[in-house]
Parts: sequence; structure tokens; C-alpha cells
Amino acid sequence: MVASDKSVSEAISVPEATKVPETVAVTETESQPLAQLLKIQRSMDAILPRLLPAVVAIEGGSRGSGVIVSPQGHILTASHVTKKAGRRILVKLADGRSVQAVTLGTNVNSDTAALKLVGNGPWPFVETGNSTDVELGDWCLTMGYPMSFQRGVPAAVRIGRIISKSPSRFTADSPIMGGDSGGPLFDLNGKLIAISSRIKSDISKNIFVPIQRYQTQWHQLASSIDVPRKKSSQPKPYLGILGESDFDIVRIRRVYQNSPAANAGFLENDVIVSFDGHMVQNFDDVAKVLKLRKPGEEVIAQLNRFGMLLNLSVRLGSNGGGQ
Amino acid sequence: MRLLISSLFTLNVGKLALRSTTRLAIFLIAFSFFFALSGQAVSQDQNLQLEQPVFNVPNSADANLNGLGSEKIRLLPAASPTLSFGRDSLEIQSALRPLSSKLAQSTVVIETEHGHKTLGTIISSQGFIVAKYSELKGVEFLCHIGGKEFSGQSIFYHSIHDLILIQVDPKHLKDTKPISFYQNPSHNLVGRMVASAGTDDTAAKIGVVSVIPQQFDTQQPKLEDGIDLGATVSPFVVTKRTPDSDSSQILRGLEVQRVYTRSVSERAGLFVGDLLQTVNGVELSTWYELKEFAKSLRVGQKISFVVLREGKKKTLSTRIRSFTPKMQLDRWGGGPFSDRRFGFQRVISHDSVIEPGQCGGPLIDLEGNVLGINIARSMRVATFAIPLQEVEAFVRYVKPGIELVYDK
Repeated sequence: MVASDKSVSEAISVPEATKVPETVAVTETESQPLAQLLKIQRSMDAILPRLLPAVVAIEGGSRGSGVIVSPQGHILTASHVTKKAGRRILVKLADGRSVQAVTLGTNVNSDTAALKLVGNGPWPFVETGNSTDVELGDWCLTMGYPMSFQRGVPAAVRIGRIISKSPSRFTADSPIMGGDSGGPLFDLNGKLIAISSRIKSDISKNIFVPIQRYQTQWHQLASSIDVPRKKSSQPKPYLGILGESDFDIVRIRRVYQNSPAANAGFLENDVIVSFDGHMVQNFDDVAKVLKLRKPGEEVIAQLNRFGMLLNLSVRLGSNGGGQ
Repeated sequence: MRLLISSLFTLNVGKLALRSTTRLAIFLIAFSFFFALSGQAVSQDQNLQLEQPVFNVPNSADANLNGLGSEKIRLLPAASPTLSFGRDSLEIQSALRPLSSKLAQSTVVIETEHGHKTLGTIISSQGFIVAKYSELKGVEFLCHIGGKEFSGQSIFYHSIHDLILIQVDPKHLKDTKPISFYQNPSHNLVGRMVASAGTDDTAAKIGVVSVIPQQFDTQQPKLEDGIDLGATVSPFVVTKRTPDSDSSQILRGLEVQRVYTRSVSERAGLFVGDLLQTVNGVELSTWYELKEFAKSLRVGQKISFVVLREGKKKTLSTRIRSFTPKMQLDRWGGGPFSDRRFGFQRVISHDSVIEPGQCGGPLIDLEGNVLGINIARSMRVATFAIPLQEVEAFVRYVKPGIELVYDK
């Protein structure tokens, strides 16, 4: 990938160039930190008019967002928005146009996917940045179409900072919610650095897939290959519920059919008070406790159902591995 | 389905047509560690023979388009090892201090007879304050500013804007500064960084205006007075005996008969059969009294129940996080939200995370221009503000001769 090579070399030169102005900025900060924020404002004013036209709403199946990255009309989004390759779906542009698009490849493991607009461009597009260059504390902009926001108009803008990062994910405190999936995360130079994927219930924990993921997977995405969920070599304990951290309690939102949880009598809307003897306050706690057990073991769950305390015993199933 | 449980919610929204909350298409992605592993599975084939390169390289001219080059903007010298990187972290709050002090000059804390606190914006030195009506609902309030306390009277409210105009004795506003109604017509609101006042000297919260002012047609459940506790209790105090007959003890209290899902009572951990002794220290002897008592409760307050369970006294407490029942939009967390949070005409939507009790204060940009008055914490991604021109129209309608400031 020639493209990424170039951006790497450019990235290397970047910190060198910034060293000098940054030290100046620090002394400036002491007297006028507000000036730094105004600087952010100015750069945002400069880049927003360029970026907003390329942010799109994706309709059909599930509603999400996306961003155009080439004048030919390639769109990056999340795999849980497009679901699989070869589908025809509708894309709403910021200027109100509704355009047909064909879904390209997906990868459920990294929640990456692409689409291609049907018809001749040139389409408005954004430039991709180098996500390996992103550092903690960097300011970033999220755009997309959250639930209840109008589509077919410029996307809703949010601001935040990168609060944690790994090769597979960035966490930023620019808030996103349902409908934002697949929307872009930009740095303050207007370069695309990541794509919205999912959230934790804590408002500062919004999770994005770094653009580098898309770059390394581009061959598969562009050739319309659906990469299936990777089976882990070790069988994992399986309960079969979808949960929700409802403030500081854990609620069951869905119980999958024929799952261990369904057989044990778990119902939707039950609150999990304790699991395997541990008090649980959010869904991560349940997942943590579950990880300590093995498939086939029996676990006691205490559920609160309409104010009745129930003790249910569930035999854990297995996920991945042999079966 | 091989999906494991996880608290990570993916973000796509189901077809609009789906009405039932349980059918909303939210798909779950398995454990987070799963993702950390997944990268290796992908082929590292770099030999791309695609029709066109999608990942275009910016040329050097493009990189300077925004006039900043590639310089990163950082507020912090990485001095402290325990640094928080968030946008509401301490160093950002201290950077906003000039704005916080500006906000404090025109913001009052308004307290109801129930002790519920919210913010108000001083709009005229003749003694007028605008606040959020549904947070106050009353006639007489206690106002606090700069350590002073004085009373204020409600003179008019607008139920669509959810604004209330309060009159105070102008002599109390001597050291304050009413907001300026000047608006820079060249200002594009979208992407404007904004700061909102906090209560009790907490620093301003930062955010950005997300979209052009618009009307959100989301409906919210009908608001009642106060909080629905979400529990059915016996009409009167019941008498029970402990099960073991040796030390037979007589227990009294309102018996909990049913606890509703997603309610305050469920969150506190009330169970069917508990005998309710007190709520927030108040002894209640009938169901009606409990219902009346609930009217004084507000979002954000703490609530504690003392119950007898199997003969033992237990204290259960929680914070009232939101008006019940919850809405679909709350699935993505981010609360607590305001009781009244939809149904406004035209609002500025910004992404600052403020408390419901911090509504009613001014919303300003980084240059100190007032853009509007915060009216509701509405969704994970949105706090609403009534635009300044609508506030002005409201005030002019009620008090045509009012003196407003239009300083730049």
C-alpha cells in the first residue's frame, strides 16, 4: 500500500516540525490557556465545511452513518451497519440526495465494512490520516446521525479527546449513540483517524475502530469478502443473554432461544442482582465472573423480577472451540 | 448465535418502524478482548491491485489548508503523571476559568421550597431572571449569588419553551452583570465551541454545537408531578408476625406488593413483602401519603428507604437518575437527564455533559458571546439550549419595556 507508506513518512516528520512551536505554546499556556482553546475553534472552523459534505447517513436494515473516502464514492462504515457484502442500500448525503450504494466486504471481528456509491462521482470525500500517529489527549471530532437527529442534512458534530488507545480501538469522550455507528472520527487537521463502533454506558467511553484497521483489511473489504466471526481455539462459557447496564444495575435485555439462560428460566427485563455469588453492578462484572467459569459448570444467578428475588441455577454452554 | 454477553452496545438503530423497545435492533459484540485478538486474523497482504487507491495521501498543500499545518494542539505539557485526558479534565476547566467567572457574574442558583436547586440567568439589572420552568414550578423562590440570598417571584412562564421569568429586587443584582443580547450575525453556530455554567462554583463544561438550531419531534412520556416511585404498597400499614414463633415479634409497615421494572424502587432494591418504614426519614402510614410525598422528589436527588425484611431493618438508597419510564433513547446511557427534555420549538443542540440541575444557565462561546439558555439535558449526545432570540422574544412579550443589554 503505497498510500500508507507515504503518510507514515510524513507522520515521522510531523513531531520534528512541531517541537518548536509546542514549547512556545507551553509558556503561552500559563498565561492564556484559553487561547489554546480558541486555536482549536479556529481549526474547526477551517475544516468543518470540508468534512461535513462527506459524512453520510446509511439507511436500510439498520440505520447508521458512514463517510466517503474517495472521489469514486467508497464509503467506510461499521460491519454491523451493512451486515454483509452485495446488498443494495440507500445512502443519504448531507445535501439531501438519496443515492444507491452496494455493500462491499465486512469483517465482524473488527466491526469494519465498506460500501460503494452507485453512479458517477465525483463525490465529496475526506482524507484519511495515520491512526498510529494519534496520541492520548489529542482532540478529535465525531460526526454522524444519532437517533432523533435529521438525516439528509449535515451530520451532528461532537468534540472530545482520545482517552485511551490500542491498535484495535480508540476510546474518546466525544459522545456517540445509536445511529452514529460507522460515522467518522477526525483529528483537528481534518484527517479521518477512526470510525464509530460502539459504546460503554459511561458517557466518556465511546469506542472507535482506528483507520489503520481499514487500511490493512482494504484488500478484503474492496473484494467484497465477508470475514466471518473468528472462532476462538478455547471454548468459552456461554450464557446467551444480551444485557444492559441500567445506571448501576444490570438488566437483561434479550434472552436467546435455546440458550443456557433461556433453559434456566431467565426472562427479559430481569435484573441480575448477583451472579455466581458476586454482586454485579454493570454488565462487565457479569462478563468477568463468567470468564472465571468453564462450559458445563453450574452457576447460581440471583434475579430481581418485579420485586421477587429468584435464585436460578444455570448450566453454562460453550462458545467456540470444539462445537 | 454465538454471541457472548457484554456491556458494549453497538450503535446501530433498528428500522424506524420498530416500535417496541425490545425489538430495537441492537446487536451485541462479544467481549472486548475478542477484538484485541482479531487483528491477527486479517491477511497482511499489501500487494493491492485495486482499481483505484482509496486511501489518498494528502499532499503538502492540503495539509496546510486549515492554516495550522500538522501542528497538534495540546493544552497540556505532560507534566502530571496522573493526568486525565478528558475534555472536562482539570486543566481544561482551568483553561476555561476566564469564561467560568464571566458566567458566574450572570448566573444565579435558584432554590425551590423543597430545596431543589437549579440555575437562572440574569437578563436585566432591573431585577429579572430567566430559568427553566419545569425545574421550579412555584411562585416564590430563594436565589443565591455570590454568597447573598434573596427571594424571587415568578411572574410568567412559557410551557413550550419551558422558560420562567422571575422578578427580584434590583438592589440584589448590584454586583452582577446581565447577559448581553448582542448576536454576531456572521457567526456560524455549527462547530462553535461552547461553555455552560456549573452549580456551586464547579467549573464550566465544554462542548460544541452539533447542528443548526432545529426542532426535535421526539415525544417523551407524559410528565407527572414528581417521580413515579414504581412500587405498589398496601393502602394502610399492615401488621405481621415474624415466621419463627419463639420470639414472635410484631412488625408494622406499608407492605410492598409489586415493584415495577426500570423504576426507582427497583433500583433501590425493594422486594415484594418488604415492610416500608420511612422514605428519606419520613414516616408514611398510607399509600396516599407515599404518593403525595413522591411529588416532592426530583431527578438527581438521593432517596433512601428503610424497610423491614425478615424482621431486620434494612436501609436501601439510590439516586433518582431519571424520570421513569425510561425512553428508547436512554438505552445508550449518558444520564441523568432532565424531566422535561423534549417538545421545545427550536433548540440549539450541543454535546456538553451537564447535570439536569445546571439547566437555566447561559450557554456561551469561547469569545464570551451568549448563544442561548440551557433548557434540558436530553440524550447521551445532546444538551438543548433555547436560542437567544427566542429568549429575547419571550422576555419582550412579557415585559415590553424591559431594559436589555446589547453590548458587543
